[in-house]
Amino acid sequence: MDFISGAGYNINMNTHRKILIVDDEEKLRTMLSDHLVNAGYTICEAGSCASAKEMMQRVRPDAVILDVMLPDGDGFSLFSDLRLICPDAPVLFLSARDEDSAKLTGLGLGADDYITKPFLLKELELRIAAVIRRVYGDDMQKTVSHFGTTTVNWGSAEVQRNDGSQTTLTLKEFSLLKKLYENKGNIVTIDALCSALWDGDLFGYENTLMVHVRTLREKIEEDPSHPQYILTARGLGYKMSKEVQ
Amino acid sequence: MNRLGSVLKHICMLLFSVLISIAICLVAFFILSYTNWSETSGKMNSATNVLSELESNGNGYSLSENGQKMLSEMNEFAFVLDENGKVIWAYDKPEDVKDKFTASEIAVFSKWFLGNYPVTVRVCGENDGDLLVVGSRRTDLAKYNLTYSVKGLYELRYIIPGLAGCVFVIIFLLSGLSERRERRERDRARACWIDGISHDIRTPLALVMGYAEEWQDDSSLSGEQAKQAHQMVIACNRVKSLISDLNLTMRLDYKMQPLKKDKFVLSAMLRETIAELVNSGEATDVEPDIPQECNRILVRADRRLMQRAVTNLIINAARYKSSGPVRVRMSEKNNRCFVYVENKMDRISEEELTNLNRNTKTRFSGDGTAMHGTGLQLVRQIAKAHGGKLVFTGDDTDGCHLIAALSFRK
Repeated sequence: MDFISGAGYNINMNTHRKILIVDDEEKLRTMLSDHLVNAGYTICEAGSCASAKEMMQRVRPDAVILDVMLPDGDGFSLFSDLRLICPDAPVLFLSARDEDSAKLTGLGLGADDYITKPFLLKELELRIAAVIRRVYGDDMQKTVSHFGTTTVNWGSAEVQRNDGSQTTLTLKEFSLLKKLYENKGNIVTIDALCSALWDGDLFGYENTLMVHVRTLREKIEEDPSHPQYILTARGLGYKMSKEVQ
Repeated sequence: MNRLGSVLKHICMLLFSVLISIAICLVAFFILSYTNWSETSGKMNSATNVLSELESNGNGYSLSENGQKMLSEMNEFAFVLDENGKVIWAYDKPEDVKDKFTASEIAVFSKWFLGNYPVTVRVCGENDGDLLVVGSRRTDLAKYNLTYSVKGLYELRYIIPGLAGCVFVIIFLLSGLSERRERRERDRARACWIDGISHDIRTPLALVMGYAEEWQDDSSLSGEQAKQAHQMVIACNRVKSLISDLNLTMRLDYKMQPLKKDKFVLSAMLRETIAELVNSGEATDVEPDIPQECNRILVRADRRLMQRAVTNLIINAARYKSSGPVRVRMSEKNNRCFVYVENKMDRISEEELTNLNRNTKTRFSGDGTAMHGTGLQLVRQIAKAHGGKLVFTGDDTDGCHLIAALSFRK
């Protein structure tokens, strides 16, 4: 069986994409495959460079998770071959060596991301979602999220409240909410938020960021002074509650 | 023990050098003597043989057939001079050799060459009044004389120690180079071994960590089981850190990790590090205390290594704190940056502080077993690589606090 399709929960916006997992450790492939299928992706697997190339030709995956060490070659060389077959498919390297990260950046291969073993599956899922989103954009237009009784339509940036009132998010509020949503359950530092909103350092934007967070809470939260979904991580940044649907 | 071994090794090298030098001198002496002797003896034999075949018969000389054959085979010539230096008999004498010689000419060629012909001279005739001269062709024989001065031979007393010194220095340098190469190869082999082991551990650990993570979030499992799964995730993270620390420490030790210095905002790096630790569950209660004005402070350092150092300090503080949060602060003074990681302890003795501040250069104790604290050792190495240090202090003003201060050049 080449493909394992997922019809599970739909926390990411870019699911149902085809992902090729290339790793010589079958048990690890199975674990990754099960997890990503549950996350809604379609998975195909390869255990060697040769089968990976063959699979790339045949399946044309949307993204590749690629182990650095393979029985018939190394991931770095395979990466160049895969780029020729599917130039647009983002590649996330899996490595079992700390030095590989330095090598990846040093070589300037243009890999989209890398993660060192062992890793948290959620982190891998977030990373693969991020690289797919970076390359293909996202499918947020089709989805809505529920913050308790408040609904956010990602396509129109409209916020529908339980009392029937409707407001629209500003561009900065939308970007802020999206960044927090993409990292749901995790703290996002004020520096990362500023970088997402203004593409720059934090310095000079701290107070403006706080203003945006306050107005966003007013639109999303039932009680903005006691927020349930956009939480403050004191001295660090903000975190979106896992309870957001 | 190692120092004593090294001293003994150098003494042995010195004795060996002396012996080698004496041997070189003796061999050189004997080779030269033998050469001298053999060169001379060859001629001596030739001339002596001819002399034995030469017959004096009142009016002159005649050479036996055997003697003639011998000269022909050796491509040599011979002639006899009377007491006036005149050639009175000759066999196969070249045309460019004249027929009469003065006393001084005879004195010269008896020692060296006649023209270009190497010659040997013997006394012959009745009352030993004549001279037999046997000459070789120009290209057949080299001729030189060596004269040893007895005083010169005594000079060997000084030459041998000098030569021994030179030999010792050469052996010492070669041995040093060889040792360095061996050490480098050993370090590389050890690095490869640790790297290989680390690699082999990481993949199965990824499986354990992945499934434990799935279980901790599995709603069908009981709360206790989910809690156990969470502990497994934390333990896996700890092993992961340990492997990374071990690799990085070794790489810094063997100078295999070049620093990649970049400019970055230190406070942002601290926030990112804390957020990552909290998000992964490696540390839960961490409070940054970074004033807004610190967001201007730029440092030039290897960000990845600095992040590793701060991570290790926070994990260490979180592991050994008695209660309360781990506090992270930073400051800047005299072109140096300081990162403080503080945690509450029940008590800290002076001895514990001394132990924490002890800069263990090796990660192995006297009996060869591994010492604890690879994480802190790594922090020290990273600080040192950035021209800084790690200092632990205690603060009793509001309960007992342990403060780790990591300082480095901006």
